[in-house]
Amino acid sequence: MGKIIVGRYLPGNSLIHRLDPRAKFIATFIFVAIIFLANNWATYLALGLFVLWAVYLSKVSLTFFIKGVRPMLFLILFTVALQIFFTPGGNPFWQWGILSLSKLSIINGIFILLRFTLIIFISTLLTITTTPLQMSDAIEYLLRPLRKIHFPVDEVALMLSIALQFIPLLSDETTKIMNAQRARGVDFGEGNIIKQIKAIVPILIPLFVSSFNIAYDLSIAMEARGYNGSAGRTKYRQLHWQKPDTLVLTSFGLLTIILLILRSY
Amino acid sequence: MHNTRRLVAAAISLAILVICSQITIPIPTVPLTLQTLAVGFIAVFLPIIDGLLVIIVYLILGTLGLPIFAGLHGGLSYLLAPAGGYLFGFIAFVLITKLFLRGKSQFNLWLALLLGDLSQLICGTAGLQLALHQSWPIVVGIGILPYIIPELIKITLLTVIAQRLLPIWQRKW
Repeated sequence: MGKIIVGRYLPGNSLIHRLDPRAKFIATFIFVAIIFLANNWATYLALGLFVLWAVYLSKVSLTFFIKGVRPMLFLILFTVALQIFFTPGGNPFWQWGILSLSKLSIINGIFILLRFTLIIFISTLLTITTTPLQMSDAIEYLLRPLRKIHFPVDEVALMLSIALQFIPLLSDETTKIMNAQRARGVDFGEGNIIKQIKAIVPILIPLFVSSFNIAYDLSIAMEARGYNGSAGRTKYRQLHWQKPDTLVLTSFGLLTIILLILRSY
Repeated sequence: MHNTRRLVAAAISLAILVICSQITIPIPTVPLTLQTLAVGFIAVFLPIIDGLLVIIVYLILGTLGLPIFAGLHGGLSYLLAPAGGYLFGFIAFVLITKLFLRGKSQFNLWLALLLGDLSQLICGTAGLQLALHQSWPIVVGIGILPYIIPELIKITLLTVIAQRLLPIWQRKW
């Protein structure tokens, strides 16, 4: 099992890295919403150029973004293929049973491919330029309105930062347990299916038990330091909203207007 | 959720869910991840409110783009993809399992997990149907049938593990 790093954060000091995480989150959401406005070549071209410009500003090599698409490739191609072969309508120039191929369905397929790729690029941009802790701060801030309906926002934010710090820890623990069991003669990834499944039990039980222990110790430590609910906790890391952040959101507003204009052509 | 231990237990369950989503057992045709096993764990061990909260936070985090779904995926595109229904199904999984969980007998545990798991698969299949607009036989064929045996294996595994872990858990919590 490879090492699990949550957030493929790449350290850097580009404009995008320095943006307020809240701005990046809001921008990503706007992008995902407005991508559904795109309905012709011009709109997709505008979106594509915008994303490439953002990638350029982040000073991260394009290969990282292409790598982000690769794991989704099968899923995307599957969806595109279904869209191409099973969409009725248009003027099919090839037909076999329920399968048909028309200019309309091929264009639709290409648009879906583009939409997926652009969404992946923009969300990769967010995770590559934002540390997990910045993300959890931004999430806490953006969820604040939910306090009104008694959603435990502070608790969720704390839970998030604890979980984010636990993940690498437990991931290391898993590797350690697997090695310990290997030393005792367990073969992972070998033998028939039943054997492989049986080999999971000696990983899971120690993993769960040790995570219970870690959690127990942590809660005792928190209580010893006077934690009693999150109300009134002050922050160590402060978020600062600056001019570039407003600029970024303005540019997304402009993009929306451009899309609305190009859409009607 | 003011109790510190409940908070930390929820946090660690979230971490376990993220880790288990990445552990894949390579079985031909269907990759078997331990994701639903972790969801079952959450359903059995956490109080219902905390369990739902953990699942919702997991979905929110994944939607925001953290690569925490199976196979290091993440992002809204994954939730909106045809297979996104399976992720929403986790909520149904926790609800249904908790609903049917009575007492501590091994069979009851197994049955509750089975029903929860089934409701998750149904949610996933409904999602497939919505996304692909195919006829139900095709959707059930790709959405439920291939998962039956792996899911049965997982819930049996979880029943065995949960039986061993519950006493340890109760000693601490």
